[in-house]
Amino acid sequence: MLAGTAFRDHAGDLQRFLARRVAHAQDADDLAQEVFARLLRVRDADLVRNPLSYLLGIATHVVREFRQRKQHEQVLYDSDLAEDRCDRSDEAAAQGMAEQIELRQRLDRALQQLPPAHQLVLLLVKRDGLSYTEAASAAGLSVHTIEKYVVEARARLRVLLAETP
Amino acid sequence: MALSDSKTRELEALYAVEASGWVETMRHASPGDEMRFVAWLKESPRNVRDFLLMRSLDCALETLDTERLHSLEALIAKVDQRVSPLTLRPAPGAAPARSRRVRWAALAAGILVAVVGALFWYAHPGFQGFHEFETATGEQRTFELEDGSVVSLNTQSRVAIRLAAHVREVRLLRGEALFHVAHDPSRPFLVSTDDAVVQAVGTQFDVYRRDDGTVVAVLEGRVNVTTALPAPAASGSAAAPVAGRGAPRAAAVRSLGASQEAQVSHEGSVSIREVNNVNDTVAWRERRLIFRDQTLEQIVGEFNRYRAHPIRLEGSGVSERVYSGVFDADDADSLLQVLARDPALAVEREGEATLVRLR
Repeated sequence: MLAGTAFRDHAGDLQRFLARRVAHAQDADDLAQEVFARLLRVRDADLVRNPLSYLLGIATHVVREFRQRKQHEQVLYDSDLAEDRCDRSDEAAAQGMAEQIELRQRLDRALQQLPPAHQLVLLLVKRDGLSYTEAASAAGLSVHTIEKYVVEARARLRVLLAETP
Repeated sequence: MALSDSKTRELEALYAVEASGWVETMRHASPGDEMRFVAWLKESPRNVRDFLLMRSLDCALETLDTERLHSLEALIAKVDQRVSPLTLRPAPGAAPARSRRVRWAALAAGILVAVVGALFWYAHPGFQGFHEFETATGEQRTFELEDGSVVSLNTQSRVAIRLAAHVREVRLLRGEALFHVAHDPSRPFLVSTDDAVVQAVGTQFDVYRRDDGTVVAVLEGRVNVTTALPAPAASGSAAAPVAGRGAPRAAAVRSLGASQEAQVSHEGSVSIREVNNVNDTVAWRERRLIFRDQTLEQIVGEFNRYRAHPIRLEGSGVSERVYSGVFDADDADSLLQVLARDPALAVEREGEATLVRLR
């Protein structure tokens, strides 16, 4: 096992876990039930201070336990809080190469079913990493419209991915 | 497609938009946002699930099209086409056909509204068991009723709703609403305006209460449209039906099927026509305004439903100009930019008002 594995960002692990289960409602439901139950036990005052980190931290713990229960995968990390960002490390990508590729293909198929404006905005913002302001001037749309299209496009992709496992 | 399937799908889409909106909000959340986010999460495990899935999808999007197979230029060309006028026809001498209303387009997949999270959400418990729901200028709202029916309110709209043992009753007091009715043969679903009563058992239809009457468009299934008042005796051309089909008679009942639209005037005349592009019927759900050969007066009227400060047309010859195009309802500037490129028109700002006139 690589030495660096222990430092692998577990937020990325959570993402992979969930991404694979977009189409598997039952697992995601079980996970969400447990995360929800634990969220309710956290004091609001604590939760409100950094809700996203809390949520992702709890979810990461629950995913770990879920895997241990199912004995699907070995767990090699531990931490109290998930990172509040996407994991883009090469190592994380290499970890689940097959499923990464599969997800990419599904995403790409779904992308082509979106209206042109939605495709354009996603490519500018996500693929090319432009800020909303930059994307707005590239597409000739307002920043407000860019933001709206990102929200809509993501929601449509989610529905499309759930419909075509 | 079974109604329950399409309704489930619609709700899934609404939840997805809501979760996607939260992913966006949490990119740069204020303390107030964080509080609302926590409250939303604690509403239901489903919100937790939807948010986590949406966020992981958002992260996965960073690997989108890594081979860069998609051409931005090709997409930009397509998008430009969608937001500029497709045609500009010289104004006809006579007033243009009045039967063209703004077409709302049905995009079942795309549902773009401010979504209300709570399932049984009641705004104002009202008189006699009616509950009122209202949207402000530019606001849209979708909610589910206790019977499973889903109601979407367009901008500047108001409904009063009562679910009783034997009837489900909706009064459209203002504006426009799309109804996706849960099937229940024992409890008809009635939507009324001053002009007409629309009866459905389980179906999907749009009702728009306009200044000059009520327009009913059916997306799925069948509805019966009954004129609310007996029509007065024929009183000359003023009361003639707009499209010339079907003379007004006392309290007519007309049956409408999918892709049909009925216009009911205040006088009780009903005209029915086929809607070629049923996909246009509820474009407002995406806050998109679609016009096909419509007068500037009609186009600006629709934009103004979404605007606190209206666009005004001044002088003669402006209102009658005919355009086609697809616009973002939130972005009235896109319309003004298009109009400003028309050499015949002048677009001027006076304080918060915008004036359009012939040069």
